[in-house]
Order: sequence, then C-alpha cells, then structure tokens
Amino acid sequence: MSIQEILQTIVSSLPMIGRYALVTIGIVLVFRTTATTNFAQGLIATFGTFVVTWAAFLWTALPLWICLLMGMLSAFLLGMFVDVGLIRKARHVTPSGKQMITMGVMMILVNITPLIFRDITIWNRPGKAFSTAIYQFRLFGYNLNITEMGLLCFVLAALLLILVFTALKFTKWGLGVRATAANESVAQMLGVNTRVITAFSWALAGALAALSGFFTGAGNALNVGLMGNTQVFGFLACVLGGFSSFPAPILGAIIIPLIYNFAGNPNLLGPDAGMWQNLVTFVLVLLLILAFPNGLLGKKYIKKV
Amino acid sequence: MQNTYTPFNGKRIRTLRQNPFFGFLLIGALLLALQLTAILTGGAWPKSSMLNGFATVMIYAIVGYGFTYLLGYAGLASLGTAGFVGLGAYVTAYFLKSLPGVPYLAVILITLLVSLVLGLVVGFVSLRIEGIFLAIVTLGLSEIFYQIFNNWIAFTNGPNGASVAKFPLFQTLMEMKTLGARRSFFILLVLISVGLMMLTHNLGKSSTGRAMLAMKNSTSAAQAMGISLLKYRLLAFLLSTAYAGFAGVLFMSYFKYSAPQNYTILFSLNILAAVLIGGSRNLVGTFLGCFIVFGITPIFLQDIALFRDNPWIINVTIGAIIIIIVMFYRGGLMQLAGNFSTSLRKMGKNRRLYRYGEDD
Repeated sequence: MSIQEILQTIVSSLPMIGRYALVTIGIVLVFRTTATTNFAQGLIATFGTFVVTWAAFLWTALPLWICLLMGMLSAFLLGMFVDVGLIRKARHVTPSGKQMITMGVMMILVNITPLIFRDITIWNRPGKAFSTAIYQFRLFGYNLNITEMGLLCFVLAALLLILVFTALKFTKWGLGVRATAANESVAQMLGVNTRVITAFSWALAGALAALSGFFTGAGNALNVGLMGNTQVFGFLACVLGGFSSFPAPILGAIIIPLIYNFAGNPNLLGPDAGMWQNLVTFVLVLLLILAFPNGLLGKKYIKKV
Repeated sequence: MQNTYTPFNGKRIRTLRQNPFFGFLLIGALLLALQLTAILTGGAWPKSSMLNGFATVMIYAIVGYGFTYLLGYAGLASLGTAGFVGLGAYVTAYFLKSLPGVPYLAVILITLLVSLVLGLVVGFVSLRIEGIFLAIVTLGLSEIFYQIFNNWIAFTNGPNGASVAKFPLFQTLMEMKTLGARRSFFILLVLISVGLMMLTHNLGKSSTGRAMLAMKNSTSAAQAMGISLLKYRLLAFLLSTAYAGFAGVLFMSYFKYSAPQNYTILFSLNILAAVLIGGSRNLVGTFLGCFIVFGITPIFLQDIALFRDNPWIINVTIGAIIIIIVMFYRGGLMQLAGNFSTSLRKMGKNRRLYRYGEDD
C-alpha cells in the first residue's frame, strides 16, 4: 500500500467515523444516565430516516433540511417515549432486564416501521437527488478526494459532537447529566431532576442516531435493517473505547471505521477483501476488546461488595 | 412391598402432579399422541405442516433449555446463540453430504466437540467481560458466525443454504420411506426432548445448579463460599453451546435444509424471548415460550388469512409480551399461571367465608 492509498483510505473513512460517532455518543449518554444500553436505538434512527423520506415525498416543495429536522424530531420523541413510557416505569428491573425491554421495543419497531411507511422504499426522489459531487483537495503533496455528502456528514457530526461536549462541560444540563452519571440517587437528593435529564438523554440519543441514519440511508434503498451494522459497531465502539467517560467511546468510533476500511482494501487482504470485510473487522475489534476489557481509555472498575 | 390399593381420587392426581417430571412427560405424551393420530388418520389431521411446527418448537426448545443454564442459573446474558445453532446445523450438513460414510453418532459427537470448543472460548471471554457488555460482545460473535455462514461458500454453500438429501439413521441405515422416516424422527425428537428436559431439571437441582444460582445472585459472595467462578461460568457456557449445537444437528437432520438467514440476531433474540416468557428457569415454561414464539404461526395461524398475510401481528405481540413480562412478571408465564391459580383459590376461600361464615 502506498502512502497515497493509506491517506485516501483514512479520508474515505471520515464519513463513517462521523456516522458512528453520532450513534456512539447517544449510546454513552443513555448508558451513563440509565446504566443500560438501548438496543432499539438503531430502529429509532431508522424510523427517523423513514420520516425524513416520507416528508420529502409528501411535500416536495419542502427543503430537505426541514425534512431532516422533522425526522430527527420524531426520533427525539420516540427515544423520549421509550424512556418515559417504559424504562422509567421499570426502575426496579436489572440493567440486563432493561436491555431486554429495549429488545422488545426493537421487535415491535422492526415490524411496525415498514407497515407505516409501506410505499417508501427508494430514497432518491425525482428532482431532488442527492449531491454526488466529489470534492478534491491536496494534503502533504497527495491528491485526495471525498464525496460532498461524506464531507457534510463528517463536518456536521464533528460540530454536533463539539456542541454536545461543550454542553456537557459548561451548561446546567451537562452538570445534571454528569451528576446523574456519577450517582443517581445522590443527584436526586441534591435537587437534580434526574427524570428530565434521563429522558432528554434518551431523546438526544435518538435524534443524533436519526441524523446518522439519514447519512447512512442517503442515496440507497431504505429498509429496516438500515442501521443494523452501525448499531452493533456502535456498541462495540463503546466497549472498545471504554464506557467510563464521555469522550472515550468516540475513540472506538474512530478506530472501528479505520479497521473496516483498511480491511476492505483489496491490495491489503487480497481480491476477496470486500466479502470478508465485516468478519475481519469484528474479529479484530473483539480481540482488541479482549485485550482491553475495560476499554482503551477506561479505568479498572473495582466492585464494592 | 405390600400391594395396597389406592383409589383413583383427586389426592392421587395431586401427588402425581407434584412430581417434577409430570409436566415433561405430559408434553411428551401429547406430542406422541399427535403423531400417532397423524399415523392412524393417514395424515388427514394433524397435517404435516402442523407436525413440522411442533418439531421446530421441540428443537428450538432444546436451545432454550441450554439457554436456561446461562440466563436462569448463571445470570449471563448471551446473544451468540444463533451462531452456535447454525454451526451445529452446518457441520452436520457438511458431514452428511460430503462424507456420507461417517456414522450419524460420530457426526453428533464431532458437532458437540466443535460446539464445546467454541463454548470454552466464549466462556473465557465471559470471565473478562461482564454483565451487559457480555451481551454486546456475544452480539459481535454472532455477527462473525453469520458472516462465515454467508460467505464461506465451500463449507456452507453461502446464501443459498445447505441441504441434506436423506434423513440420517432412519433413511440411511433402515432404508425407510421419506414419510415413515419423518414420523420416526419426530418420535425420536420427542424422546430426546423429554430426556433433555429431565436432565436439565436434575442438573439444575443438583449442586451444580445451586452453585450457578449463587453466582448469579452475587459473584463475590459465591466466591467467598468457595464456588469457582471459572469452573461454573465455563460450565454454563459449555452446556449451553452443547445444547445449541445438538439442536443444530437435530434441525438439520429433521428439516434437511438451513440458510444463513435463519441465524441472524433475531433468532438469538427470539430464544431469549422464549426463555424469558417461560420464566427463565422453568422448563415447561420454556417449552411454552418456544411454542408462543416459534410455534403459533406455523401450527395454528398458517391457515388463517389475516395472520398469514400480516406476520407482524404475532411479532409485535411477542415484543409486547417481552416488555410486559420483564416489567411485571419476572417469573414468566408460569408465575403468571401460579398467581392466577393462587388468586382463584383465594377467591374460592373468600366466597366460602362469605357463604358459611368463619370457622370457630
């Protein structure tokens, strides 16, 4: 592999990094505030993506970004509903039990989503196709290129992540989230409205995942399995980076797309690389997790007896 | 022993019912009766699609019994089940198709061995990674299996699925006709199913099961009592993967076809759901859970147009049942039934109290 190719592979991974980071930050927010993982998040995102498409089909005059906001809003509300309607009511249930509740939600959404949006399967609508332009630039004397949609995805994800992290650090909401993450009952005693904090975290996770879903689905045929891979890799990214802090999982979300794109390179792993790309990535990531069971940046968690 | 005559009254039935194997034998007897009816009526009722539905339930219930060791006893949530069942099925298919000389029992043993080795690997993983992280990691493992099933064409025949021409044992050794072989295999399945239920029940009641339960409630306390986490976690995974692999063998032998699409994450979730619905340690409940999740559609609803054309109805119901059971009835269906009969008894008592007044 030449340096040109390595740089190009890294640049081509940027959109995927953006998409994964958006999902990952949501998973961490949910995990830190509720101590569980939301298996339905991918489906919530898919639902949001379907809403975007549906709105774009129905009101052809509407600019796409408004449709996108509508999709994110629907995912926001859906995520909030899962927390307020189900998880909040299941306080006594163990984390694994809560996980199973979200699996139940997943089973329902998998079946309901195609039912609601029966006629929408193809993404591109006439007259408003996505930009397929390719943006070229020079870096260290090498000519590199990236699709315009991909660049948009990465930049948007980066901006949103900066926004979320700034909010976590400096706003009252962020303080509440960090307090809830540290100890929910003490936070409650000190006057933090943990219910609102938690619900908002779930909702935000849904909305950000919907944005990720929008970029995953852009230009492709839509189906309910849209976010399957992203969801699984998002979870693995969190475990790989370490659940114990907010920024650590983003590291996982950066590493996994890089592994994925290098594994898919035919010059590196032979002509069948594309076929085995998923497998190689999973194996490498799992080995990494086994080597660092607390995550790359995670601290060793010592259990109180 | 003195030969005493006990009149056949309610008391005798009650003692019979209290026998832990009563439920297992009842299920076995009912399934055998179904098959016998089919033989006697010449296949008019129950139809073969219905019997196949029950066979699916039996085979997947075996996966469920194995899963109870993990979820019910050891308290480990794994989402890699689909991969192990698929592995069992594909190894069987490979041997039966490419190496027809190998005896069936040897095929079963080889499959079990492969499953055990993989169970050992996952067991060691479970020692390093705990709780909900384990579910995530095994989810990744399941994806690895799916990719292998889908892409390793030479071994699994890829997305087209693997198939076997003849029923092993009954058709290869005894040279029966296809229908007779299927009926015989069904009866064999019933026997295996009941046997495994008894085995699982006994193992759960033994010191092994108690050690696993202790581990589930508190790893630290269990260790303090001298229970080796290494030993019992590995054992739980070994047992569960062995059951899953064996179920894969049986699936391939009975249905003679399997495709990678059978072994996605959805299958693992369904098994989890079935065990949860049943009450995570109750084997009769697990069977009923598998019946609800896998059986209702092929057995009863296939002939009703509404359900045949809208498979989502049953799936959404299953999702809702999972949520309700996790939130309100951790004991599953059997707890629900228990609650119901307790409240009925209480109602009867209250009624008697109302009618006849309190005893002095």
